[in-house]
Amino acid sequence: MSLSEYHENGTDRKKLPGRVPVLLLLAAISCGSMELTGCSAGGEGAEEISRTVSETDGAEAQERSAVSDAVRFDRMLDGYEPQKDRYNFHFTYKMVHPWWDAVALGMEDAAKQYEAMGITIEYEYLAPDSASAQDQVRRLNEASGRGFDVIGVDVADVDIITPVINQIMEEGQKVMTFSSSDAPKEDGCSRIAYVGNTHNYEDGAELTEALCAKLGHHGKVALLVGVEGAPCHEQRAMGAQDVIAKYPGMELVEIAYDEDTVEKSCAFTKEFLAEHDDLAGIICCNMSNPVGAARAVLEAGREEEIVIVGMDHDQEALGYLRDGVIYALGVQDCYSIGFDTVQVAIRIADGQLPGEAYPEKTEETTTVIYQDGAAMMLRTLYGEYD
Amino acid sequence: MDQQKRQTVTYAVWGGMVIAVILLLSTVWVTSSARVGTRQAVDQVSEFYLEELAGRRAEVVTDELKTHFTYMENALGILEDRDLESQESLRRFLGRIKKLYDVDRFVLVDENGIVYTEHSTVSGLSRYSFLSEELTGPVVRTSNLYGARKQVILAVPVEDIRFQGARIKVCFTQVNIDEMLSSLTLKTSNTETWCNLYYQNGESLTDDAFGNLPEGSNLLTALLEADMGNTDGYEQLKGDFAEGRKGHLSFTYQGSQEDLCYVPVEGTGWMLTVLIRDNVISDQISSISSGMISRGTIQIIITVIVMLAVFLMLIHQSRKNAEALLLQEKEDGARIRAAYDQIGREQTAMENIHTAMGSGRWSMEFDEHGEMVSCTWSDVFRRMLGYENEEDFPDRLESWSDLLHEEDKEWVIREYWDTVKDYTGVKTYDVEYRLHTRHAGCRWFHAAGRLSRREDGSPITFVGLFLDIDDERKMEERLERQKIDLQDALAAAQHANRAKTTFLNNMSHDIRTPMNAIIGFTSLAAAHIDNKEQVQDYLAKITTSSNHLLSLINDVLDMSRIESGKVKIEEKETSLPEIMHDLKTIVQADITSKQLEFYIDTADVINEHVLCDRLRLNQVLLNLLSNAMKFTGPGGIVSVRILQKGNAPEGFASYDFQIRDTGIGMSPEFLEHVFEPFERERTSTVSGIQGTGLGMAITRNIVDMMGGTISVVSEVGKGTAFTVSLQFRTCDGPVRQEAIPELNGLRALVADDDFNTCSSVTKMLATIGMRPDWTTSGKEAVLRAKLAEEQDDAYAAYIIDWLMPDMNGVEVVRRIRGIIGDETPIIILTAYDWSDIEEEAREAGVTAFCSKPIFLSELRELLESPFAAPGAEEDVQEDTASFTGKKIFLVEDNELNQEIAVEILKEEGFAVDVADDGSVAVEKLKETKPGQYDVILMDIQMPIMNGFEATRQIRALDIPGISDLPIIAMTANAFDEDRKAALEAGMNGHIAKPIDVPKLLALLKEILKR
Repeated sequence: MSLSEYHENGTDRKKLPGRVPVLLLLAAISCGSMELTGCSAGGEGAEEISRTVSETDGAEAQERSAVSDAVRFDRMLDGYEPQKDRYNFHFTYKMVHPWWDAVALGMEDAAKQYEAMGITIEYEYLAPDSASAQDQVRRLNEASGRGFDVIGVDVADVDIITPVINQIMEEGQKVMTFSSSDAPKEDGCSRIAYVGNTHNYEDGAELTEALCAKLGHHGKVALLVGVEGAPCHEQRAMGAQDVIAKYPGMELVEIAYDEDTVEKSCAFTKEFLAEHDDLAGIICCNMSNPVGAARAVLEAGREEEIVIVGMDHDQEALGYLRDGVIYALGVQDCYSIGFDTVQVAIRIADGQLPGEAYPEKTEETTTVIYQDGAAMMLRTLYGEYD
Repeated sequence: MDQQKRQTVTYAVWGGMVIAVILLLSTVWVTSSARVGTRQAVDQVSEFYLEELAGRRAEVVTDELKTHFTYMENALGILEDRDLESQESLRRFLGRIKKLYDVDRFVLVDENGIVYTEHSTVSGLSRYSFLSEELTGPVVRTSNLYGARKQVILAVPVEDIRFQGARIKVCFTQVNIDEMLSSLTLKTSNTETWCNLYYQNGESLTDDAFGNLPEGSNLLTALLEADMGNTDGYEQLKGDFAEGRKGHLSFTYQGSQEDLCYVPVEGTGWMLTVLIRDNVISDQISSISSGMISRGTIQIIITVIVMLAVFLMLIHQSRKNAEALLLQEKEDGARIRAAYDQIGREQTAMENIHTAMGSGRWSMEFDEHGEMVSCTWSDVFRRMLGYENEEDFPDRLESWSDLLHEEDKEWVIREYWDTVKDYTGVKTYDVEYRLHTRHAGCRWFHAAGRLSRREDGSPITFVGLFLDIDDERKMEERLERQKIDLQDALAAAQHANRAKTTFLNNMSHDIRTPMNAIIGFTSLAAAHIDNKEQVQDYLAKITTSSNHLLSLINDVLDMSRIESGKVKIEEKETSLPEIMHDLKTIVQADITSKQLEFYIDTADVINEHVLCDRLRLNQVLLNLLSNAMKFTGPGGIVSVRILQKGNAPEGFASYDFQIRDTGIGMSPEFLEHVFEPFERERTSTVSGIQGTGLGMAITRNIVDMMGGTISVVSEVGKGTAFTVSLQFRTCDGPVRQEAIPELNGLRALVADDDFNTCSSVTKMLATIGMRPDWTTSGKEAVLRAKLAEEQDDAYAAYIIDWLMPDMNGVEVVRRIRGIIGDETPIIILTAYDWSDIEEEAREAGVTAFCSKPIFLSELRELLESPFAAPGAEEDVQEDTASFTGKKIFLVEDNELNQEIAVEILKEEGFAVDVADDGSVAVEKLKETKPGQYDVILMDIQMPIMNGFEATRQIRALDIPGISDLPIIAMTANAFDEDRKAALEAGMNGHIAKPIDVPKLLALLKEILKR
């Protein structure tokens, strides 16, 4: 649920699809056994988790509607009147990646709308080329001394970053978490609020359910996780493993961390294919690995026999989805994450605490789309018409 | 008549109505065509208009983009260091620029991919992926991540700007596409014209509507459903888009006829497209067409009325003209009939002539333009050429012209047509030419023809006869050839006669001159027989004249034999040094008596032994040398130089024999005839120099026979130089050129007053490895010898000329010996017989003598071999054995010759028997006992039995001691072939008359020794 919906609906956040209770149960079970805070998505924020664009929704109008629900870039500010006419934020995220560029677009639009109101939003939105908790620590320490109204952080490693957040909070710096990974208060982090995906476990579980159903709940599968320790990746992997464990006919034969890179995911997939002639499916937990997996499968000429599910809206991945190489993709609403992050940051800067004005965790949707929604998604996101 | 008039009017009215209907129908047809034409024209104009419209709008887009690039350049130009001091100052600068140029964003990007804008600093460039590469120039792209925000990105590379330690590498502005296009008025307000931008792959840059196409749809994909009449249109469109070419297309899409025009936008990869509804054009065309029809109908009505009036006038006028023409036609008919009658008569007359002459006939007819319309060959004509009928020889001009002889073809045809086209009628056709007949080869024919012409001169008929004149022509040619042959023969006879006269004149003079002396002095001797001294003087003069007469006869005979090809070149091994020594010996006396300076240079000769006819070579050189001496006055210089050239093939040697003198020379006029017989520049009477005038001709002929060349350079008063170039086969290797080891590096001194000798000998000494010095002074030679001793670099050999002006060679040797002692060899070089001074010279210290000219081989041998002991060169005492007691049998028919021979032989001690014929001799010998004769002297030409036959019979006798007696031919048949014939007949030797006594005695001595 976005921030504006929060305002429209007040505390009514129940918008559950029919199969959500099952997923909630699974998520709760699995999170209970996890140390990583990312698993807390199964808490209050997990009430609204994800949407699914039905495989059988053939009508273009439905398609268009579903896609526009999945990724929204027509967002408007929620009507809150900031107390200052100038704000200065610092946001740091895991790594430079197109996924976070989409988040930046939402930030940019929000700042533009505030500018139209006469309020200047200045911000830094920076990350290293590859994920590094130490780099993030450096950035946070450096930013804490520069007088930003709010510092936002997409947590690279919960264990490492939480103490740093707590420290700079103690020094009087206001800190929030955003986008893909939170450092939850339940785990002792004193950050003020979180805007982003709170249902990574569920996303992983739902995609895996779709894959199992496609395979008739029988077959060998491999799992490409992403960055080891990254909460969102680990949570999705956990969700996937739990679903597979449910079905006796399903067997998880390989797990690999590809560091969210296309090249490594491709290489791992080639190894899987070489190792397992009867491999039936691949579950991908980030934006890069469905691309790598699809490339390898295509190269091996086994696209007819391998079912791939994965995350996010990479243009190449959407192309594979349209062409039937990838079976399903979970598309996160990155734009809204960025848009809402700026809105929440202004409230935090103005001294407001989560509660009445805004939620402590602002949840954004993930929409699972299939082949029949791919073309519309490509057209919407990338202006690709054919 | 009235009825006729009414009928005419009725025809006119009906005709007018028919024409009106035709006009009306044609107007409708024309209008319909015009509609099509108008449609095409309007299409072309609209196409042009659309292209123009699209082109202008594309230019506007390009200009707009360029303006933004200019903004960026300006902005970067005003960026100051203080703007780069901090993030805040940079943001302020970027904000100012954004406002100044009213762009969505004005952005700098550093090398780490950090994007700086007015309010943000952001990492991540996936939206601007094209920036990941190093830009080399301005770039235009669109960004459509999250497609609702299609924006134009204009980027330029940045240099020399750094911010916070990183290099700023790109600057770009971001312009919203919709805003940019609306500002360019690309969107039209009406619903019949659309304008849009597309990528080259057909994707739309905007989501705007474009005709009936869905908003934002891909143009190329959407138009797949359009009806374009054929598939080429779509492929053309696709190709144009892919290649960025402008174009135009009409199609029907969802029921609407549309016209599409597209042009590339420079520097962007975009295609600006304009679409116009076709009904806009078709409505215009309909309006034009209906106007044309109404105006055309009115025009037809007016035209029909006018035509009727004109038609009636024309009918009236034509009747009048027809009457006049009828009258004229009658007159012309009578005239033409008369002309044809005339032609018929002429042809009949011609036929008669042909029949009478047995000639062929040909005729051609022409139209009034002078073009041939028919051509006829008579059967006689055909038969004359060997053809039977028209199938063989068709009635056309080419049948004849193709047979024309190649040499005659061009001019005969030209003559034919010149005659035909001569409208004045002056030119006549009368020619003789050759034709290739079918069976009789090429024959001569005579053709003559006459033309009848129209009044304007144009030809009507061309009729002619054709005669075979081959026999007459060939007879003429034979006569002509005979005439020429006779003229040639006459000229040759006259020339021969002149030559004979000249020869006889020359001979008469040249023979009479010495004969006059002989007869005259003989008379004088008889008259003064008692005065011994006077008689001796006369006899000497008689001898001189006799010798001259003999040489004249020899030359004449020699020339005669050369010209008749009887002289053969006989190659034998020959030593050039020997030839030169002999030559020197022969001329030495004359050289001395004429007080000439004479030298021979042989230093360049490498091959001294060759295969050549020694006798003839000697003759050539002697002739040239004799001339040189003859025409050079006392004190003059005569020289011979042998130059061996390096251009001979292997196994051969090429030589230039150069004979020079400083004599009276020859005029250029005479030089042209110097080698012709009997040519003398001045007669002996005038010049005082006797000669036959055959010497040079003989010389040239001999040189020719030897395969060589002779040339001469001469100048009156300065002298003459003859060069004889000959090539001989070498008969041994070249003279060794390598150094003599014992003498290598040792010094040698040459002393000769003749510079050329010094030069020649010095060169030879250098060739054998010595270090030669030379001097032309005897005294200097002595001084040099002394100096060399003092410098401890003494000469190892001395070569001293015998006769030097300042000091005699023997004296020089004596003085040098006084300085150097007895060890070192000293060689006297001389052109003279040294026997008289040899003893004195040996005593003075001379080691050896060497005669000039000296050759390398001789010098080498001299220096290589141990020096001969004194007296070694002494001449072997001539064997003066007497012929006393020897018996000789002389066979000679001429009494005078018998007497002379008997006297000479008796003088030498022979006992002589005589027979006056071969037959007598044979008979006499049959009865002779062996040992009665030691030798037989046999004349050749005798009245009953010649010498050859007599010899054969003697040899055939079975009388030992007689049949094998030595027989020597003694005959006036003095030539080489005579000598050979004598030997072949079994004789043992040959001596020519007049008798050269020493030669005869030498031969007798040699034969009697055997």
